[in-house]
Amino acid sequence: MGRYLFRRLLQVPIVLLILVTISFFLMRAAPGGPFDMDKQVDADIKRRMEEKYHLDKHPVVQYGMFLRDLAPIHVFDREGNVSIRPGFDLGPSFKNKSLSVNEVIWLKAPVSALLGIAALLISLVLGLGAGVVAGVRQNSVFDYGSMAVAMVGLAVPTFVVGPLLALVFGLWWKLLPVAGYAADGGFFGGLMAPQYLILPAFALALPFAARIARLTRAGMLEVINQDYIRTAWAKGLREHVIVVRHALRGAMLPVVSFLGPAVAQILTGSLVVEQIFAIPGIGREFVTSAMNRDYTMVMGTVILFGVLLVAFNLIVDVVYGLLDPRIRYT
Amino acid sequence: MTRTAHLPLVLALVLALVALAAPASAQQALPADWKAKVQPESDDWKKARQVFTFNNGAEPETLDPQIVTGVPEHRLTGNLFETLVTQHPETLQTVPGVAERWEVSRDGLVYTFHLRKNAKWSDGQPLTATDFRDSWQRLLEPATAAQYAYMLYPVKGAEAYNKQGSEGPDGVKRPAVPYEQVGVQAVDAHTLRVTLERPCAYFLDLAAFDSLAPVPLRVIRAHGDRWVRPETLVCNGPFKLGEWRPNQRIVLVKNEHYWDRDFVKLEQVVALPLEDMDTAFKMFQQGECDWLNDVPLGKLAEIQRLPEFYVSPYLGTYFYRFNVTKKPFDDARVRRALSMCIDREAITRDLLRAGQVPATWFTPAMPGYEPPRGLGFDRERARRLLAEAGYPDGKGFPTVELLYNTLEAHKVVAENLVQQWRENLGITVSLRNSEWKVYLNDVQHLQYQIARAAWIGDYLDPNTFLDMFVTGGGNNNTGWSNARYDALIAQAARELDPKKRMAVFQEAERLLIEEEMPVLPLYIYVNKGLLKETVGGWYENVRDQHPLKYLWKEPAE
Repeated sequence: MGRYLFRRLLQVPIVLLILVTISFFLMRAAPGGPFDMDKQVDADIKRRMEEKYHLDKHPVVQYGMFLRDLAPIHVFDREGNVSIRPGFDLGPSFKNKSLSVNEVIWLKAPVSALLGIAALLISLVLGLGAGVVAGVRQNSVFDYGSMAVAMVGLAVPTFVVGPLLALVFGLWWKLLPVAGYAADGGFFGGLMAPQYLILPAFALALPFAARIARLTRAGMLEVINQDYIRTAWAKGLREHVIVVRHALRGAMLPVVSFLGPAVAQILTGSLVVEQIFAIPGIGREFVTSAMNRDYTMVMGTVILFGVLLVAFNLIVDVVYGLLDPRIRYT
Repeated sequence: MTRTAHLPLVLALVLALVALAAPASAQQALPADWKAKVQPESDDWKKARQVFTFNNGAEPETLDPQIVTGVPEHRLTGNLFETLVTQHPETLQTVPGVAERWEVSRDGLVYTFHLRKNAKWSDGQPLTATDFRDSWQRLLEPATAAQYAYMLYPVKGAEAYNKQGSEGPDGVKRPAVPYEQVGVQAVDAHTLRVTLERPCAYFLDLAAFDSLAPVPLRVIRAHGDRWVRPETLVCNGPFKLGEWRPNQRIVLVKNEHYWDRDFVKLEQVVALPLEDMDTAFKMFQQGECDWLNDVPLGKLAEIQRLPEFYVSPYLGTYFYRFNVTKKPFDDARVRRALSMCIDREAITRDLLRAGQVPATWFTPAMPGYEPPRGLGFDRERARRLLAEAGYPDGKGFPTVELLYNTLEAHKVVAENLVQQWRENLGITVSLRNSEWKVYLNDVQHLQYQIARAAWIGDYLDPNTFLDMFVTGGGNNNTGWSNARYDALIAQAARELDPKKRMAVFQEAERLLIEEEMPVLPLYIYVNKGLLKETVGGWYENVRDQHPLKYLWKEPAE
């Protein structure tokens, strides 16, 4: 197990480097640049803006500079003198001119993470609950009912569900704010004012909950007819023990492998939910930075998502071993 | 218009060559008691909490007045920083700002601004003529890479200073220029003398522009690009920056060091960056927002019935460009035919439904200028024109492609046009939509046949619309070139008599939209929004410009 983990961890930087390299050059290859606008900028001034951000240099040179700044530790400063500083410097954002990409991520990612955790909990509770009962009571009213709801959850897009939630709970019943975020901002500010999180978390959770419910149900149906479950029944165990202790462990496997990428996705937020509920999260940056050709910000979001995805896939592999005793790591 | 209307308040470079109709002296013909007239009638307002919340529609890129280019930024920097002169909230006439008065030399070349002795920075330091001189140096400094540096080009030596070190058209590096050669001089602490390259009747309009605001150089030197944060930002306008939470809100608070602080009524202004109009409308309904400068189109019918709804003409045109360098649009008859067979009213009435003005002309009507009517709907003539061009009943007409940037609102208009063209002319037009930057790239490199476009006027003069189609103009983007048109625009630039000048513009526009048609105008934009009835001191104007200094809140009934 230890050796396996160590080997996997060694792969991480390589995977990320490949990801970063491909993204870097793909982004540069897209037509247009950060300073293209509908009213044309004087050629001289545009050139100077490009010089300021080193965009006048060859992409390969830019790539080298980018990797140099990204190094975990900087040993030399720009003049070549020894000066040890922490690295992981993603550079300035072209769009948010007074912030660096690192700062944008530090400001907004915690907000998305908080919202994501809330949405994750909701989708797990709803999804697993509905899925287990639907699987155990196959073809019952509850099975049909919950699967119908899950179908709707999958089919109806967030940009419909979100405004609907805000309309009903915010505008009509006045139970919750229609949009906005805790006045203090940030992760802990948000935690202290959870009323702002409820509606967006549900909107974000719904499609995930639906997927989890369907996967759990399918997993349950497969496991419930297997020999070891029959053995458990034969031993005279009670139903809830069989379901929770024995069946669910096996039924969870497809859910767990779904959760790896899903958690990375849910924690980084969503443009649609953030726009509908005016949440100052990082989800918007994934879309708008690419549209603005905000090259440095694009790289920041790619790296953020890449790290999360790799991390959660690794966790999934470990959890697999815990859930299924047949899996051995070598 | 979302990103398109990203209204760069640019005064195009070409403007520098043009003389505006209104001479500087006429602009000062403002009643002495103008300020009393923009005050509340009673003292009722004092009972209300003076907090004004509005939706700014986007997260500003920065709040550095010399760097900003978009409308959302301008709505904030215009209130944080005060220029030498400013504009009347209703009539947009020039009114005093940091300068309490100014003189213009007889030859129109020298402007002398007398700064208020009580003008201060928001940290209490005095604001002097040197601050203006040095701020303008920063604006022109090549290293600042300010997009709107050319706003100062009418000033003597400014262009040379801005372009030093870059390659000229001959490929030779331009020589370094000392700042002393630029015509900006701090005569004493409160007198700024500006010498122009050539007479420029609209120089006061430029002086009222954000880019020419003073910036706190000592703060910028200490903090670099980050000086615009609440902890460090020092400004000189009616408000200062209280709080900036990216994508959440920006709070401006009254600046206690502002020279005219007793006039300012609002204590706090909250700017929200809501991009979703539905969300903004819900917050408006909940009373969490006092002003929306746009409304969700899907709810227009409902919103139009609200007492808070307002709609007024805007200085912008929605149109299509033809690529005249390629067949079949190299033939003006084809371009005219495509325009004359369109029922524009059907589009504004049935599709857009917000009071947009269907237009067969390019320049919105403005004080002193009435655009020519253009070519109205005439299907028979359109078909004849197409037949003359060699395509009777559309036979032999190649399938052409219409390019627009991906947005539902553009799509519905384009689809309607495609249908009208098929029904009325028998020609087939296919649609291609592109993501914004790809679309820009294609239009600028003439990689299209017909392309959607929009233009928002930068200043109140037909020139801002018409000079873009001169040969080789930076925003021409049609490949169209016409010597007579170029001559007319140049003639308008030289003409100092306002009436004659407008007549020249009319002639040019007639050539543009009645004969040549490199563009197909569709409609004139409107400002539409919602304003709480408790807001006072707010005036409609074609620039959609509402300085916070003049606003107040009345108590709710």
